[in-house]
Amino acid sequence: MSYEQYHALWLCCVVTDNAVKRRLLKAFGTPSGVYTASPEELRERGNIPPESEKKLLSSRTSAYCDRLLHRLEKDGIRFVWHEDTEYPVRLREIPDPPLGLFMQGAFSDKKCEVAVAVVGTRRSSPYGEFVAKQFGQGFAEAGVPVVSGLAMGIDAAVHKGCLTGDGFPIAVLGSGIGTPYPRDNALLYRSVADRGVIVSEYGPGVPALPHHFPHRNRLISGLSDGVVVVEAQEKSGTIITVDRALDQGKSVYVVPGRVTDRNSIGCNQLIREGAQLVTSPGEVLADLVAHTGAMLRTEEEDGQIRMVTAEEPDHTRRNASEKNTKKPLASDEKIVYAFLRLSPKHFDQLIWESGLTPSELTNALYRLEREGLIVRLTGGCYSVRDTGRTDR
Amino acid sequence: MICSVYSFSVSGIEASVIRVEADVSGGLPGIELVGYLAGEVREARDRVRVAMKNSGFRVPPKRITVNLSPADERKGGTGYDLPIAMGILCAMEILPAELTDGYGFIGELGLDGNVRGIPGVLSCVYEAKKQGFHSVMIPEANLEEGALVEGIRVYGVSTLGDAVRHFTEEGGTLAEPVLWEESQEDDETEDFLQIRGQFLAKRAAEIAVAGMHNLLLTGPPGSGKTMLASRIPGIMPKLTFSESLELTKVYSVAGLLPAEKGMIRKRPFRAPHHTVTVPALAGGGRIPIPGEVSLATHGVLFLDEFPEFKRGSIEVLRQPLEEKRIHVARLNGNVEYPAKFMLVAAMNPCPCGYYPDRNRCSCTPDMIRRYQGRISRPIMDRIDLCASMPGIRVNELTAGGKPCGETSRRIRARVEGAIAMQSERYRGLPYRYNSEASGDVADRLFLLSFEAEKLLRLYAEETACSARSYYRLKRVARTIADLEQSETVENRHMTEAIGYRTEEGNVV
Repeated sequence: MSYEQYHALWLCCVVTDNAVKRRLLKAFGTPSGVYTASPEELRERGNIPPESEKKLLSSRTSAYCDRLLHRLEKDGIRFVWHEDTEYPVRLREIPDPPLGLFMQGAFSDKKCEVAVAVVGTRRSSPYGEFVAKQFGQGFAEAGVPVVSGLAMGIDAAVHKGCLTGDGFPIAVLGSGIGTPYPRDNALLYRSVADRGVIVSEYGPGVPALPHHFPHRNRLISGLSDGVVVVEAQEKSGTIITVDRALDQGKSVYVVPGRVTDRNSIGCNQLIREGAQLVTSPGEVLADLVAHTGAMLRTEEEDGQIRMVTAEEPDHTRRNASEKNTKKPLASDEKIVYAFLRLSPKHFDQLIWESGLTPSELTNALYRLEREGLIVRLTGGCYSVRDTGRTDR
Repeated sequence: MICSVYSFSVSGIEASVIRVEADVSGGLPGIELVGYLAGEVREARDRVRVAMKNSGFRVPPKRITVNLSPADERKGGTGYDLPIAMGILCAMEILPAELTDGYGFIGELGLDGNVRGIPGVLSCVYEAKKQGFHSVMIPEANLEEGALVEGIRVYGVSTLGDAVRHFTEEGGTLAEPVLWEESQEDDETEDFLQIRGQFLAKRAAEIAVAGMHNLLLTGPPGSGKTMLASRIPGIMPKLTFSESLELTKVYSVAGLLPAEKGMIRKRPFRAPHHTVTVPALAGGGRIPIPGEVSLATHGVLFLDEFPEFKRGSIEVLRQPLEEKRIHVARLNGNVEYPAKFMLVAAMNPCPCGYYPDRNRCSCTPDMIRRYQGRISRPIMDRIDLCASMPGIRVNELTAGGKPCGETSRRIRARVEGAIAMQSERYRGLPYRYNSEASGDVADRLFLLSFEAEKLLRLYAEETACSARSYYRLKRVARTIADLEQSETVENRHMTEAIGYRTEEGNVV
């Protein structure tokens, strides 16, 4: 690590605000310039908030910097300065690119022509999670890296889907690198770090402050060529991501939802404003291929190169329908299955609709659950698991 | 001269015989009471002296010593006033001592010589009969209660004068023996018919009652959890005489017996508020009295807003749920109360209450998990059935012509059938309900069809459930089969039982 990089790491760990970093660099030229500036100079020319100044002054020791370096090495975190060659090309093109990035995992060497971000609400419905998973898996199987934010709800579902499809997940954090946030995602964090990459603008130990997340969102859209929205509420982080994507000239795709759900308000609003409506990952890829002129390809195990074009059908769906060639259902179960949807339905509502007795219904539901056709949710609600079976 | 009469002390809901010895001899004039007495018993000295004077008996200026034996047993309560007075009167030879043979006395005295009612009379009379007394004399106010015990003459007296005249001429009222009639009429104002929708919860309640299983209801505010719970006693089988007697004893000891009715004939429904303290729930106090768990005996203990209860109060339920009684240890000794209640707990699915309706609920998955995690695992393990209740819509409330359910009477008929099957099964065993059956009894007596057995084993393996959960499913399935009067537990019964398993579903 060069001297310059060493000081750049120090600067990025001590100052979290990108704008402050930029001001300092303008005043002193290089990170080393900031490091060696006298306190008076810093105060006069730096024009920075007092608490940042205090922290800058107190941390300018080689012991502090060595500790930082040691910590990064221990956790397998790489620091990339915006002048480095490893710095993601896509981020160079956005307004206000982060001056330094922390990355954990394996940022692949192979150049990906297209990357897609899938974002959505943290308070997702089973339907939203199902769709997000399907999109994540679809993109993964087409060899497209999937960018998301590693939050709860849609973000987590997207990453999970991507991992299922053996793809390359990219997670952009709004908190310091190295610490899963929220804690529930600790396992997922590790899987993503193992098989994809985790990116953050913030150094180790930086807490997840609310104002970090809007800034984080510009990186999610920045790292991708198109943003897919699955379930968004009216005013949400997801809408901020979409705004950033539009600022950066990226395409926005929206998965529609039921008009009665709060989680659909944002989506439907975006569609009204002209975002493209998509129902499968294939449509997104086809559009991106047409737009960017990129050739999508993935190397299969046998070394063959498969091209993904606009005509490529959505294979997740095909797989699902192939799998379901099982024994026929009993009549009660057929009735019950016919009334179930992807959105949760309560036991009592099913009684009204199906006219079965409680004990008949519990039996039918349990058998359907065992067959893997439906999911039991908390609160006595049930929903179907698969779309491939609607022909039943 | 030394004389003795008999009285009773109550501990828990059981009474024991106390011998009241009185001696009148020369010495410094005054009355002295000994025998490990609590303050209110020691004060009996003044009450007795003044009451005797005001009833026309002159207390001689002599040394009067009264001992309550066994002298090492702590004695509390005001029921010793009457026996102390009677003992002194015998020792003063105003009353021929031999006439009081075979009599037991209890009652509090007022200064004017009136005999006042006291708690716990039923237990005392019951013990008197057991110990072979031929008569007991109790306050007139408690006569209805005392009359419940058969095979003993129960006299109610209203003044000390009456009590003495009973032996010299004829005084006091002889209680008419109470005839037990089972025809407790149905409460028309509280019927299952009034509950619209909520099929899952109604069915779960029926199963729970049939096997005395504990029940957890979850649902948003206003979905009718309390309404359903308060109607559960109505579908329980009618109280039998011995159950009623036990219940009446508890209420008598707690001093909660309604004045005009001698006996509790309705299954209790106790719904303590979630700020309830541990002693109020479990029983206790300096002079121990039964708590809510005992007052709910043979009925329903309803804990609304279950997660809001303090941890300590919930944990105290463990012993009664397991052993059907509660042991209260206090400085002055241990008492034991029955606690054979059915636990019905109710909770919201999340802090705001509307989950899984995502249009109204904005709780994060973490909040929901934390909220549900407030109830400790050991308590959840003792809850056999879980039912969730959806928020009810107006069109369901007005149920246009659709049948909305059954009457409590019809449900009770099925429950009684199931209980009859259980009493047949547990003949000669210390159990009455499926929920009480121990693991080996369940293995031995429950007849499972091949498919049901296979299903249960498969389910247990897949979910890696504990032995406790395994037997819980088995018991619930047995109860469901009992409701159908089926000798074997079929596949469908087992499937239904699994449907009511504790919620460990996915938070989405």
